[in-house]
Amino acid sequence: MKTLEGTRFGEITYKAKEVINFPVPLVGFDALTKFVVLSSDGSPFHWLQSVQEPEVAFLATVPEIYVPEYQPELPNWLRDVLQIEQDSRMLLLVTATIPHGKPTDMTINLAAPIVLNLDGKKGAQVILDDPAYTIKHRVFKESVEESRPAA
Amino acid sequence: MLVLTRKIHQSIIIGDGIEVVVLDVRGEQVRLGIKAPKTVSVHRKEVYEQIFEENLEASQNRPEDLPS
Repeated sequence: MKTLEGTRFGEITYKAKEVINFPVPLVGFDALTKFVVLSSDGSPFHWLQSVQEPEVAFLATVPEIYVPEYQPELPNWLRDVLQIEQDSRMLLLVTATIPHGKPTDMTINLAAPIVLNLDGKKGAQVILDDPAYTIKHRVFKESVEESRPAA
Repeated sequence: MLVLTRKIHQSIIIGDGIEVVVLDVRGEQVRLGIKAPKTVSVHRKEVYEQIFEENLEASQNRPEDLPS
């Protein structure tokens, strides 16, 4: 077990084998290539916690909850770079931004998803060259009444 | 900044294995072709900067702000 101190979640313990390596790091954060994914049961949110810089953690979420039709075409080179096998368990995330105190103004970045190979422990942020996907996609309607699909 | 003059179909090599080719010049527009290793990401600077900004914001969220 390893320990990370000084994170915004307090002290974190993780196993070395849980660390995900990013051969293609998050845009603008080239120095950060090792992360652990912090998740809690029942929450669509995940934190990509940097192992190298304890104070850095990116909020990410599962896009299909908010945009069911989101099925971006991912570049072929990902297969090699992330060492994706036929049966690799994959996770597609998008970063999320929640203005302080305004959770209903949350946006997600559909233009640059984060692709994780959970088995191979590899990750990449991919910039999609598709104008259909915006960097600041609002997930909640601006009106007070939210239309939600029936459970 | 290093400044080089190139003609159409000429190229420059950056480092070990990155090649930038001038494909076409029309008025104010230049078309470039880029050959780079798979792990080298190539982006239009405006897009890169916007995504960097967004990543920066995503790194500044507070756990207490998450919608329940």
